[in-house]
Formats: sequence, structure tokens, C-alpha cells
Amino acid sequence: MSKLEIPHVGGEGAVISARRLSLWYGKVIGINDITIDIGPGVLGLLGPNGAGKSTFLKVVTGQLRPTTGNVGIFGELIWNNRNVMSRIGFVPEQDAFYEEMTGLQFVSYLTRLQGYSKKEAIELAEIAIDTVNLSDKKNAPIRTYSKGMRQRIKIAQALAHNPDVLFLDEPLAGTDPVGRRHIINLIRGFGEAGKTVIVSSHILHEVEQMTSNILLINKGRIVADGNIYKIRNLIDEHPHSIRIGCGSPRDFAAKLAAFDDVVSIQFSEHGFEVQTSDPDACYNRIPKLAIESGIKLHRMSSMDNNLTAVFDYLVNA
Amino acid sequence: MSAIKSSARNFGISSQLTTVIGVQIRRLLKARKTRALLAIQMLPVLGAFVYVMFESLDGLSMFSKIVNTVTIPFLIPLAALFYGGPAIVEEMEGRTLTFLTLRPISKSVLFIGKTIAAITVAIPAVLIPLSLLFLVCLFQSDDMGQSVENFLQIIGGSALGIMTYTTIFAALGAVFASSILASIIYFVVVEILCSVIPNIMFLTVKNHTKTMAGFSSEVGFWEAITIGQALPAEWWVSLVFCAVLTALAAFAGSYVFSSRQYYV
Repeated sequence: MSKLEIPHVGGEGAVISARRLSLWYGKVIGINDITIDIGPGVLGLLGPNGAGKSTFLKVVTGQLRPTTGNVGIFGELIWNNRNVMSRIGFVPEQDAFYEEMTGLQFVSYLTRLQGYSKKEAIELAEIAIDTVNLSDKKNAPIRTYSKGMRQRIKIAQALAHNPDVLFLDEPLAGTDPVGRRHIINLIRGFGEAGKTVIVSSHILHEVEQMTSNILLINKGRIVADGNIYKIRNLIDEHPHSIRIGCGSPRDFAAKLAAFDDVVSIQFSEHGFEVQTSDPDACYNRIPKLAIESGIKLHRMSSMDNNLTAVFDYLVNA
Repeated sequence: MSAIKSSARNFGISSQLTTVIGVQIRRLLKARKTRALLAIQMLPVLGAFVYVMFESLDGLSMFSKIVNTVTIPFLIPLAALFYGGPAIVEEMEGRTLTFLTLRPISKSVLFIGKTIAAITVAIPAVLIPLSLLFLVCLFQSDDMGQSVENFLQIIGGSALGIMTYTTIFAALGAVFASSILASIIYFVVVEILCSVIPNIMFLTVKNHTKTMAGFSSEVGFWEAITIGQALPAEWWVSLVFCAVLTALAAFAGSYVFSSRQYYV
């Protein structure tokens, strides 16, 4: 594959480089022939359950060895590479801890394994715990933590050693709205500081609040990558939905249905939704047609500005 | 983040090994299974206490008999089973392995550190009740000097036996990703069945632990019908055998753990 053909997401330069990356669990494919360069900044990894998001994260963090292809971080292969491990932080999806440890003991232990002395590790752990707003519970055993607190202590262990690359697998799961807002701001802050952050989630509007750079993954393959607006162009190759609210919706729908680019029409309580293969033409036509037909147009909105629509379009396409 | 001024990070093996061992020992000492194991290990002490109170017998003979028939064949492997097999596997089953393998620490150091911690806790878990058993039996002993000498040899042999068993079980855990089953199969096949197969009993850890502890070798089936006595065994031969077996198990376990991927 030539250099020019390699997709790139995020800021300039490739922090993470995946080449022909595939992983099979026996006869089941986890990820399938993924080639991509990921630069600094926050990247949202989106996909339905079982799409391969977690497998992708496990492979790029060196927890699983790819069946074929390779992945590097900062130009070095990741598998059993201690140099790279010292520069990454990972928030796993699973709710697993040393339950008897306190939050501070847990984070400081894992920080000591990052090469810090006991004193430094405790100081770094306290800063990280404070960053996730958990200082008042740092000396309580983890088994007494709520789901949201457990999520935050997982994030603290990933932040404590100030990594250059941060991987978060469903980091907002179980967090309350305040905690969620805090974590989202934290992740955005990391991206703005020039770090590389990959956030996996299936909650689309949450990712949308963190970044406009996304990687859509389904059935182990990257369905789309890049900026949300770049992906928007890709959407135009697929049927495009426009919601219309108007007087006499059935009459107006019948007039629209006469055009070749209209793929389908679905009625709802407040109007109808038209799917078109030529969105630009359709957008121009609707107001004109409404005026010519004497139909009052109350509302015309595209679902496509919302990430949900992008997701639905590209995953289901 | 990282507002504190930190010195250069130390990725040295000794520093990381010390951290893993220290934390793991603390975790094991607080673990419920340690209390359960101690309760089991104390059963012979309670039994001996009852005997000493109500029966008139030679304390040293009773102590030797209990060690030879209960402690070495069962209680030592049990302690190793409690700590050796789960050394790495409990991190897999508890799904906490991810936190460790994503640190700049080699997997071999993790395996060795966890195994050393397991041995460090397993040894006192057996030897403290064993020492109490000895004290109870000492009340009925005629020759205290000889008793103490025998006791020290038993302590040394038992400690080495625990070390060997624990390392083997830890390695089996890494190979089969199973904390108990693989170790039990090993114990039944190698340690129990091999004890009755001609000459093969020489390969069992139990046999060598007994030799190191000062007990004479048992007469196996083959020895009984051929030479009519047990194969001669020196304590140092058993020591070398156990040391080699421990080293091989540690190497195999750390090699497998380093090269395999585990689906956590």
C-alpha cells in the first residue's frame, strides 16, 4: 500500500500506525484489515456492540497480538515493548479492581510500576485522583465505591503517570451527569494539550462533545474515518434523510415522490421523512415546491448534522 | 497533571520486582483464603494437642508420623495449591491483568514476582502451624536435643518442598490459564499415581521433600519386588532435584506468560 493511500485521522503526524491489522478469535474475526494513521488530538472510536472497538483497542495497546499486520506507537511496535508502555495510559472497559485496596493504594501501586518511587507514585496518584474529583474517597476501599467512582478511579490510574497517549474504553459508562461533564472536559483538555486520546463509545452524543474526529467501526472494519464534516460528504453517497413538517403532508409527499432522487418517504406524527440520493437538489426543491403548491412549510431539518445519523447511515450502509 | 517534580523513572528489574512482591504479599496476607488455609493447617496441631493431653506416647514419634503422613503429602501441596496456581491466574480470572500488562514491566518479572510472593506467604502458612505442632509434641519428647535437630531439618525440607510445588503450580497456571484444575491434575497424576509406579516415584516432589526433611525414602512397588528396599537417596540429591525443578518451572512459567496472550 502506498503512503498516499493510508487514511489519516487526528492532528499532524502519525502517533499510532496500524497496517493491515487483523485479529481472529478462532473462526470469528475481531478486526479485519485495518490500516490507519492516527495523529494527536481526541479521536472517537464509534461502533455498535460487537463491532470490534474493544478488540481494536486491545490490539493497539499490545494486549492482544494481531493475527496479521502490525501496529506501532511513536514508530515502535507495541507488543511487549516497555518503552511504549511507559507512554500510554489505558482505561479498560471491564469493571475489575483489587477490591480490598483503597483508591489511593490502587493508583499508587500501578504508578509505581511506571517506574516511580513510592513517594512520587503516591504524590502522582493523589494528583490524578484529585483530577477525577475523588479525593474525598481516596482512602476508602474500592469495594465500597459506586459505579461512577469506580469508573473515575480507573481513569485516575491511566492518567497518573502523565501519558502521551491515552486509550479509554467506554469511559463514561456508569458516571453521573456531573461526573460525565467533568470527564468529557478532562478528555478535551488532554486533546488540546497535544496528547493523543482514543475514546471508544457507543453513546454518540457524548463523543460528539469531545471531538469532531471519529473513526466508525463495524464488523471489525473501519467504515469511515476523519472529521465529522469529511464524513458528511461520504454520507451524501448514501440515502440522506430530511424531516419535513408542513400542512397537508400527504399531498406534499406525493409531489416530492415524483422525483427520481427520492428513495423513500415515511410518515410520522409531525410530518414525514424523505430519503433522497441527491440531498443538494432536494434541499433546493422543497421550499420552491412548497411555495408553488401553496403548502405551508413549518419545518425542514436534516438528521445528518447529528452524529447519530452518520452512525446509522454508515454502519447500516 | 504531573505537577510534582519527578526524578528519572526507574525501570530496573529489582525495583519493579520489589514492588510486585511487596504489594502481592500484603494482598495475600489480607486474603480470606489465607485464614482458611491456616485453619486447615492447624487441624493436626489440635489433634496432637488432644493426644498429648489424654494419651501417653512419644512426642517426637508422633510429630514425625504426622509430618510424614499428613504435612508433606497433603498440607504442603495444599498450601502451594492455594497460592501457586492462582499467582497469575487470579489476575486473569479477576480481569485485573490488563492493569499490570499495560505497565513498562516485563511479564517475566511479573510472573517471578507473583511466584516469589506466593512462596513467601505459603511457607509461613505451613511452617507456623508446623512449629506449633512441634511445641505440642515436645511435651512428650524424651530427647529434646535430638528433637530440635530433627525439627530444623523438617522445617528446611518442608520450605524447599513448598517452594518447588508453588513454582510448579504457578507455571501450570500460566500454561493452562487455570488456577486449580491443572495443579490438581498434576498432583493426582504425578504425585499420587507416580508414587506407586516402579521407580517413577523418584520424580515426585513429595519423595524429595521427605528425603530433605530427613525421612527415609519409601519403598515403591518396583523396589519391593526387586531389591526389597527403597532406592538410596541423599538429602543433597533431593535438594538439587528440587532446585532444578523449581528453576525449570520458573523459566517455563515466565516464558509462557511472556509469549502468550490472554483474553481478559
